Amino acid sequence: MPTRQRAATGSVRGYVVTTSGQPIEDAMVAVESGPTRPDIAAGTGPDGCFILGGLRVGLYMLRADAEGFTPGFADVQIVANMRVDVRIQMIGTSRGSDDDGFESASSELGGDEHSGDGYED
Amino acid sequence: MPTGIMSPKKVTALQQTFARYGASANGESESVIDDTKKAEAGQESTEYGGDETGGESDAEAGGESTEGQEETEASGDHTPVSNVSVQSSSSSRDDGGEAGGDESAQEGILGDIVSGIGGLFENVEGWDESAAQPQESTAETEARIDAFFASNSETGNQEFFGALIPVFKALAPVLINLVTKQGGKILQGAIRQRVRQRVLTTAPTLARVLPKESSAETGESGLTEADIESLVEAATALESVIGHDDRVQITPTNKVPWNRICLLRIRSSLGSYYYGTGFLIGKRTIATAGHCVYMHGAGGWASSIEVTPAPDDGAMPYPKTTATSFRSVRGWTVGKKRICDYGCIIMPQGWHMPQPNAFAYGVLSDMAIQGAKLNLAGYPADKPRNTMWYHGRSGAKATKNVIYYSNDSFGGQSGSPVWVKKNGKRTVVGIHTNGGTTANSATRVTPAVFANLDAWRTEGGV
Repeated sequence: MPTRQRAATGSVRGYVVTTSGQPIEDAMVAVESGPTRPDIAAGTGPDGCFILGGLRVGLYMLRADAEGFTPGFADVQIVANMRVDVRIQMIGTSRGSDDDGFESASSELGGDEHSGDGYED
Repeated sequence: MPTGIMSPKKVTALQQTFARYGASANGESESVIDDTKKAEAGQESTEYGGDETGGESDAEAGGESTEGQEETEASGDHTPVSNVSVQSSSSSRDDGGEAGGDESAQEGILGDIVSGIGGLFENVEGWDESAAQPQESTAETEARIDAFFASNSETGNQEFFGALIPVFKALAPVLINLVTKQGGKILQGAIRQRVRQRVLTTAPTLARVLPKESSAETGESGLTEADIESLVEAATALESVIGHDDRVQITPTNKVPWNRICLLRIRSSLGSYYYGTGFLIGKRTIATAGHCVYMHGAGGWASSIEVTPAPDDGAMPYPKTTATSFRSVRGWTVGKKRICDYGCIIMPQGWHMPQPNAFAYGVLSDMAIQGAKLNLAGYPADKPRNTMWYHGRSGAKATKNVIYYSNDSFGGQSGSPVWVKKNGKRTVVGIHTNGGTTANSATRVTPAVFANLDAWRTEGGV
């Protein structure tokens, strides 16, 4: 039987925040599109943090859902044996939210305000 | 001879394909398990002869994997493991007909399932069965698609097209007919833009191999703007939910089989939270994905899982309960093998649903699975919180340990049941684990998986 190399994987750690930077607790984050992956959703803690692991190397789009907010999205490039950081901003759907009306997302390999260098997965 | 389960003789006649129904009596259970073990040895070179032709290979499909480790079954992969010390289960069972719900064993069910290709989708209001049939391409179509891929191999664009082949193969019916409008899903700009760029780049080649059925003016690409928009819409949709999003919400959820499906809120040992789905297979046993109970990269065994049977938006027909006793197999916890991605939750002593109610599970042949209408339901994270969603599709592909299908799923549905309904009886044939671009997939109920589910079901009381 021929041997088959198993795909390398990495992980992503992210923060779900309002557009003014406030953490959103109990948001659900999952992969909207990307390579084959475990179909589990991550929940955010009080600091808005979530972690998704076991992702094959490739480009993913993450989606965050939380009550009172429109879905937020972020693209992220998963790197083998590394943990990538991402930040997902969400716009509130109710009046008087602290949102500034913009929706944006960014990701980078380590090095943002939440992390140091890339992590070993 | 026990009643309600196929006799060993019949089992042999049916190419050693088995099914197990929840409410069978003691002697029946033992008999089936023995048969299953016999079958396991014999199937390696026959029924489960390593057909890896469909979808991605098991190894490629692995969400959790280890570099350089090949994903083939090894001795001990299906050895059960637990996060708590487990007393060996009693050999005497008190089935008593309590579990099993409407899947109580009935003579002849197995034969019907195995020989009767097809089955039924669930009767769900709003569900459009006509949309669930796979679109078949003609021989002429296939030839054009082959020419398309061959042409692109010659242009030296292999790397680029290599990445696109799964998408375009999946898009074949759309490409050929140029009439399919995959609407209804608002998609985000970033990926849509990338897909659009890909389509525009490939448009000249596509135009050479596609029939011109449109009379509208075409641009430099040879395709009309409407053609391109259709392709972009379809390709982008395929990046997530496969094709048109025609999932249907289940409400109310307090009816069979929906009230067997549970929302899981998982707390990892590191304190992070995850969401998944599970389903009752016994009085206190909830089957789910291995990665819902043991998370590589998140501390291993879950610390606790909050189980809520059949939540329905704001309504909670049944109370939520926190469980701390979990099971999986070494092939998952140690081997990280996608083909071993299954496990279960044993609910606390005293926990029970108001009425006995559990899914049956069974080992079906490749043919039976591939010809069946597969049902899938769970709690996707892209839908309103605590809402259950259903999707049905036929045309699955079964490999030795994995079932690939186009039933839509989303994060949060790991652990959902994948079942066949035949003559009013439901049999779970897979545990949903993975989402993907070209196919979603489940850990298949093989004889080894079956044996563990059976043991765990017994452990939780049947």
